[in-house]
Parts: sequence; C-alpha cells; structure tokens
Amino acid sequence: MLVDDLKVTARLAHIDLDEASLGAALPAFEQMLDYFAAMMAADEDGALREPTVSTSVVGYCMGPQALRSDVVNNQISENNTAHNNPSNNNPNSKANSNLNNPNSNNPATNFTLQNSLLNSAPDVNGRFIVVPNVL
Amino acid sequence: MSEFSAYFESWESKIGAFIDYHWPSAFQGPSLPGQKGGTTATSSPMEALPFAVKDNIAVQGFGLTCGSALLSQFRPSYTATAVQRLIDAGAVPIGKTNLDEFGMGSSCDTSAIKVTNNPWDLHRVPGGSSGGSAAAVAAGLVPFALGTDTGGSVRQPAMFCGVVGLKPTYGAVSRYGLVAYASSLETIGVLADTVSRARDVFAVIRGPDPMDQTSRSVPPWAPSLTAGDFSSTPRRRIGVLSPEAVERAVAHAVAQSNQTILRSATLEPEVDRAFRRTQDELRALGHELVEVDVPTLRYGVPAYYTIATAEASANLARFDGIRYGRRPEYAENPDDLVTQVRSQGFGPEVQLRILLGTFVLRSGFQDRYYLRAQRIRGAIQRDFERLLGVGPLQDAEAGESGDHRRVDCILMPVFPRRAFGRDEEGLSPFAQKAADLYTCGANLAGLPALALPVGVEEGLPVGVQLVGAAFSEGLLLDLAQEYEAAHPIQRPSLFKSYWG
Repeated sequence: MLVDDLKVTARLAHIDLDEASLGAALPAFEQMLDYFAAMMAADEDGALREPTVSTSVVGYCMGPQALRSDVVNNQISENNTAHNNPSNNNPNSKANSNLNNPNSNNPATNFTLQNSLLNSAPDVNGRFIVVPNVL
Repeated sequence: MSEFSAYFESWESKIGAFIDYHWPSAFQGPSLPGQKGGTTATSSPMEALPFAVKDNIAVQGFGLTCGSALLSQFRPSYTATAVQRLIDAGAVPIGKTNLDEFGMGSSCDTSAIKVTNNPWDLHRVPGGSSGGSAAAVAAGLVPFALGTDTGGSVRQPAMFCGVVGLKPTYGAVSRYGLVAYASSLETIGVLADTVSRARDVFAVIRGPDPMDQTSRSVPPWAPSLTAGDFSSTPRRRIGVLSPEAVERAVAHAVAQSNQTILRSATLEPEVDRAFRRTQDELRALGHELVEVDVPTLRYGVPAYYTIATAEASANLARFDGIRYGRRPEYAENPDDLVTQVRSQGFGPEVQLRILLGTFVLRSGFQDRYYLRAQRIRGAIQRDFERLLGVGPLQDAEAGESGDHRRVDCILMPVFPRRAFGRDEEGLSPFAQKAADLYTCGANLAGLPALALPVGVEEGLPVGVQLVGAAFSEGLLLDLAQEYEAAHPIQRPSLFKSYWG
C-alpha cells in the first residue's frame, strides 16, 4: 500500500488529508487491508467449496417477497454463448440482453454483463461509464 | 418525580448517557399505571413507560447528531417507525443517547459529542456503538432503550453494562428513520432491564412497514412471543460454539505473526469462566448442549468490515454539506464545499472506514475484496442454516437422533473481554474490530441474537449470546427468561429499581 494509493482513495471519497493526516491514517489503513487479505485463504481451504445457495442475505431474510411485483427482472442466460466470444459487444445480441444472474461468480458471465452495461451507457471512457457532472 | 429526578441527574452527571433529554411536562414519574407491566385489562405494558433512543434514530422534537460534529445542529422532520410504534403503544421517548460516530466503534469513544462511562466502573467504556442506551438502562434511568446493531452494537454494550440486548432478525423491525451506515447488516434492536421487557418492546416494534421495503411480516411458523409456563416448555437442544475451536480456526486463517488478531479471539479468564458456568446452568435447567462449529466464522471479521465499510462509503456520501451537514463559511466551488464538510465534519474512525470502503470498491479491487467478502457471507449463512435450519422444525427432523440433528439455537460468547478501560490496558481500535468475531456472524447471516447477563466477574458484568434461526426471537426470549428466573440479573451499586 502506497501513500499515493491512499491519496487517490481520499480524493475519490472527498476527504482532504494533509501529509500528517495521511501518515497517521496509513498504518491503520494497511492493518485493516492486511486483515482483509486473510479472506484469500478461503479460496483454498474449502470454506467456499460448497455451491453458493445465495450470496444475498437480504434476499434470504426477505423471502419471495423480496422483489416488488412491478419490478422487471432482466435476466441473462447462464448458457449464453458469449462465453466463447467475449468480444461480442452487440447490445442487441441474445447473449447480452439476457441478464440472468447478476451475482454469478462466473467471470465470463460477469464480463458479458459488464459489456452489456457499457454498451448501454450514453458515454464511456475505456471500460468506465462517464457520468456527467451535476453540480 | 422529584426523588427520581435527583436519582436521574446524579447518575447522568457521572455516566453521560444522554446527548439530549427532556421529560415531558405530563410525565408524572415512575409511579404511573403500566409501570408494573400493565396490570389492568386495558393497559399496555408500554403505558407511560419512558424510553431512550440511540441518536442515530429519528425522533421529532429531538436532535439527530449520530454522534458526529457534522450533524450537531440537525433536527429530523419525522419520527422513525419503531419509535412511533412505541409512542402509539403509550411509551414516552425522553431522550437521545450517545453512540460511536455513525455507529462506528465498540466503545462510544468515537463520539464527537461527549464521553459516556460504564455505570459499573466510571473509568471504563460502556461498549458501543449503542453505549449510551446500554448505560442508561443499566443505571435504571429508563427501563429500556432502542439501539442499533450492525456488527454487535446492541449486544456488546449490553454485555459491558449488564443488561439484556436483542438484535432482531434482519427485516423484522423497520429501519425507516434510522440513519444508514451498512444497510444490509444493521437492525434496530432493544436494550432492556429484563428479558420480559425486551419481549414486550420487540412485540411492539416488529412487523412490516411500507416505508421500509426490507421489512417483512413474521412468518406463521415463527415461535410465539407470548411468554409461557417455563416448567412445561420443551427442553431445548443448544449448540455451543467452542471458543477454543474458534481460536484455532482464526489462527489458521491469519498469519501467526498477527498477535493482535489472535489475542482478540481469545476469551479472558473471567469471560471464559462465566461462559463455562452458563453451560452447566443451562444443563441444570434440563437442556441438551452439543458442541457445534461454524467453520467460516474465521473469515467473519474481514468479510464483515469489507462489506460494512463498502456500504458506509456509499451511505455516507449524502453528508456533503448540500443535502446534509453544516456548510463552511466559504468554498471555492461545489467540490471544495463537499471536501471541506467531510474533512472537517467526520472524525478519524469514520474517515478511515469511508476510505476503506472506497478502496475495496475501486475498480480493480472489487473481486479481491468486496465480491470475495460476499461469497464468504453466503458461506457463513449456509453454515448457520446447516445448524439452525431456515424454517419450522419438521416432525421427522425433530424425532431424528444423533449429532446431525439441527439445534434450536447456538450459545456463544458476546465479546472476548469485559468492559475495558481507557488506559494502556484498553483495546486499540484495531483490536476492538478484531474482537467483533463472535457478534458479526449474526449480522452477516441476518439472524436474531440475544445477549444475556450471566453474572459478575471481578466487579464487571459478563454476558453470553444466543443465536437462533430467522424469526426465532420467541424461542431465544423464552430460553433467556427461563435462565433469568433461575439466575436474576445483577445491578451496579447505587442502582434503584423504579420500573417494576
């Protein structure tokens, strides 16, 4: 973790940290990130091996009523063919218009979802959506 | 009222539980109908009972500081649903209690407004973040108070102050009127002088609310909230989460060199002694205790803080001096205005958590932190489901024998240490976070948990917690009330009971 990383993060968060404050914040910041890094071991030790039932505790607690009846649930097919063709950026393609599982851990599905969102954005910069200033 | 006023002022001057309070002129003091729990056919158990509200929950007529300098002048224009339900039931809100800034802390010491002390020892913290609410109830200033629990913020101060703390199932109580910190984790909870009182309060505040889409009805199979005759209630099968197993698991997950984390997972001898004694006492009441394991809990704290800080960075974006927050005298442009307000208004702990949350959501880091934390959250939820189930106990399952049968609830420690001091033997901010190990699991899984005082060790209260399946608050309260009947809750010296 570099001070520069913390500076960028602070700017994004609209928090102005002078050099002294940065120096004071950095150890606590690094200490927490080091602890967060302990989660990496979960990939190897089997803690996550069981198929994920749901990563949304909100959905679990709220049950079937979690979604309002008037909300359209766009879905992406799990079997979408874009897995084989990640360069398919056509927003009208069947593969990209089916958003099935936004919580999917499948990188290919996530990639397709990202492409779909990027193609729908009015303005993009690389792989980022450009949001106009409102103030 | 005058005797009680003197009692109230005497305690409040020492513990500083309230940020703001005023007794309504119509309030005649503790000797009103209803104070004994509703003795007439028409009276409500809440009738004329005063209560306190954590100062991150809106109550019209009071401020809403969230313990932050940024909101020190803010007045809400409406009342939270949970508070309004209590008012409608006859209870009277008399003040707002101190908290860690925006609920971020375990000591109440990150409040920018004032310091709150523990009624058992004024040199120690009351816990947090609902420390003011816990201290007010422990000193007998109010019979109950509302708090909020995002990662243990009701249960940990309840243990530190020796009162009952109920964190309900996520969605059981409306969050409308609660200033959001980590929306998918936090619930409004109850701190009360007795289990029976916690039951009465929860019965009033629970239920769906059209103003909060995450709130929901109590399922028909949920255990009743009506207290029964404990001699005829079924003996329970209680899972015991072994602290030793948790310590070993944490040691496996983190670098051996990180002694702070390893120490934070270890119960101090007094807490360990009380935890073991409670197991014996529950067995003596006829319950069956079996050892259980929640293997993924070893990743609970990092997953919890990843998700909580990510949500905090988004939720606290509204405090920009434009929508909320006091504006500076001068700013070059809107960006400068926002930056000035947030830099000067938020305290160091809130700034740290916003920075962490912003960092883990940054492009390129999401997979590494936030998405992995969400997967761990799912795994923790599955571990609890495996032990507790997700619905009513099936007849076939109830008759099943052997260790694979699920348990009615899980007994575990609340916090590895009793109330700590502010001297060099206190806990560092990082150690306080690491010690959330036993409480944050219930928040990650959205389950109800009840902290219950089980005794006093070396002059300080110790508690345990019971975690149950979603909407099993009735079962947890029954078990706790049975225990309380056999082992009455102890009170700090100079405590007087005015509330029946």
